[in-house]
Amino acid sequence: MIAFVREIVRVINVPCRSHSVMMSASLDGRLARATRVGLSIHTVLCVPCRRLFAQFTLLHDAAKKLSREAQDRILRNEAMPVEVRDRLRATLRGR
Amino acid sequence: MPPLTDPERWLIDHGDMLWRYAIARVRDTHVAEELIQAALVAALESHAGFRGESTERTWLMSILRHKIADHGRARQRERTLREPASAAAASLARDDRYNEHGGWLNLPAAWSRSLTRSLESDDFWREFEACLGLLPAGVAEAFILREVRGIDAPIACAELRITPENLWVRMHRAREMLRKCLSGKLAGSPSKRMVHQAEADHAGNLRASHGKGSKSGRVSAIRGPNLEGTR
Repeated sequence: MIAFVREIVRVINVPCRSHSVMMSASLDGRLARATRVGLSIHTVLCVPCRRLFAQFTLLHDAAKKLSREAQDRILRNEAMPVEVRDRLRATLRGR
Repeated sequence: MPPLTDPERWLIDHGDMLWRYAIARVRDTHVAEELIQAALVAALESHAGFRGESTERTWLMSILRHKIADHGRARQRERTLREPASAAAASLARDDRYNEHGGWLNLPAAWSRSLTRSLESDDFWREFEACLGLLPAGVAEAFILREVRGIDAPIACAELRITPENLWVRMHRAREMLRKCLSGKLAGSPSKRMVHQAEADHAGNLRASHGKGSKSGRVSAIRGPNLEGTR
């Protein structure tokens, strides 16, 4: 319990540069509970870090959404373009 | 004509798959075409060496993979020789947000509410994809594998041939660079210095996801531009 609280206090007080790395780790789902709690408290207290975390989270959510649309796009463009195929065929024929 | 020496049939049977693979790796249609051509020419010259131990597709793919790897190494050498490759990419790579103590120097800019409020906005997606395109290839690949496709970390590491530590560094870099890139394009009015609702919603979500955060869901206004050394 003491170690848990100590970790929370440590995380609240480390320089903001480290919080940026922690936020990324948090979104990757690999932050220990005490570190997560400390980070949450810090983002409540620190406005720029809160904004940074909000933007990271927005990117995280946006990327998930890109998934479906990007896959749709890839499926639509999956065929080798006809002109590329023709050029390749011509090159290979000359060999 | 023996089936294995028929490059036209290779194009018909495997062209789309080779194309998809090359495009996914190099993200440039001209380069993809050149690499496929080089791979098919190499296959044509060495088809006698193909013993049918693997399928024709696997064999062609492995040749293409080698060509892509060669291309990647050449590009890396080129990049090392004449860095920075582009001003925009170099500016993204520059870490100028913190002071020497790790405190804030340049605050993250607010994003325009109209663009971030709805992720359906075409403008947002155009900018998002453009910014993804500016990331170094390895960083963008890591981000796309993990965040867009939801690939588990061990599989992503195997695919990228990197260590988990390296993967997490790339994820952080991708987020920092994407955020910075989008900030240049989605910046809200500096005179308003308010945290916009879209960000506030996300801040609320992340506090909820972190469980033990503040009970306050309200996001206050930025106090002012000079928060140097804020911890």
